[in-house]
Amino acid sequence: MSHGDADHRRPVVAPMEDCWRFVGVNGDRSCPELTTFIHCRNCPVLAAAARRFFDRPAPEGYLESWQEIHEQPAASFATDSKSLLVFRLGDEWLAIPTPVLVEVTPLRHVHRLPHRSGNVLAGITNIRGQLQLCVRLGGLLDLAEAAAETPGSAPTARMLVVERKTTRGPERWAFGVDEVAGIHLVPGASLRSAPATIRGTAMRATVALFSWRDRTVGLLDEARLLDGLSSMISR
Amino acid sequence: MQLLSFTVGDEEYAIESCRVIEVLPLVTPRPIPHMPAFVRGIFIHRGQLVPLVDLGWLLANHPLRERLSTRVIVVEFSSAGDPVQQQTIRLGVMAETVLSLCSTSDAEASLPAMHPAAAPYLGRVLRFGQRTIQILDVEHLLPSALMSDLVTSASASTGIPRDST
Repeated sequence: MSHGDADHRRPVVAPMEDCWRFVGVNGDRSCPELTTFIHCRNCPVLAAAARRFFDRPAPEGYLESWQEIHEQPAASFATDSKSLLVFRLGDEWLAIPTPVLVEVTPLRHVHRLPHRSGNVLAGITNIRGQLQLCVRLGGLLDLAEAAAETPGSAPTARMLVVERKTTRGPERWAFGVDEVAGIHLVPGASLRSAPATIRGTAMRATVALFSWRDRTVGLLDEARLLDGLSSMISR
Repeated sequence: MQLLSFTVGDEEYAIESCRVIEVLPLVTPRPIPHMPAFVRGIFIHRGQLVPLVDLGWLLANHPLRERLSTRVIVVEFSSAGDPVQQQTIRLGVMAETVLSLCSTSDAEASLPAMHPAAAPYLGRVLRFGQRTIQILDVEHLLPSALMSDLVTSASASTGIPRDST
């Protein structure tokens, strides 16, 4: 094997066989191998092309920019950080721990349940072919503005699905929110305990407050929240 | 057991992935005079000085080609000897085509390690389909004399910050 300079600095040769552009998923999908591999990313031809792609000298400045990064001491993350999903309900910004979250989906039609639907229970909704109980979180938490109706037709409105394991099996709930601001890692040190004045019956699910982008967000305790939901619904 | 596989020269080798801390793009090491050719020098990794071993010189008798897929595998292990004085040693290992993982449970055939005296780091040979992969024991990559120097220099107060792990 020669390792001369000419070999070392040879220009990038495009893969001879870029079949995925013509007969693969980016082409007319006529490749007979697609029945075996379903998608070109599973095919050894594409994998071999990827290996050839990496078989070239690094672009100028690339290695230097990485060296600067990994020479820095490793950033330390607080071990008591919590992963939280931040969302808005009316004027209130709230958060739930990410582990209870199953999915965030667009708003769906909610079928009212005659004589059962009320301030807390909105009805049932179809999520991936399964009927889930849909609740009004605003009704449970006594948030006046949000409780009036399920979140309006704002384009930011979403439906959250949460789940917890109980002795009777998994328990799923869906509820609408006005806006989802994503999942954030919040250091435990920045969680402040909720003031006693708001820890009344209405807000008993809020266990802590934290600042996020100059807003104050209430962290909901998933056990209290879902216990509250179960007791209000089964009544 | 998961293995991180790579090539040196024309042959495939692997390192146990539990030893691997991080895989970095190529680094420019600071050369150290009077070292064996396969020690390219030292480089800075997360604030620590780490020796860089070129597997090309060690296994194929030529330096590795500097390609995008040529990477530095940072491994960590405890030094041999007295458990009280054990040190955690970090080593950068340069290899080509560091692109894939494989699992020893998928091996179709295996040959136990032969441990040649000159190369105690050569481990088992495994066969995966068309590929034959030899496992390298990172603890024995450096000659024992060089390794004991590393241990003593790490334990001496050299002003190099070393984390306590």
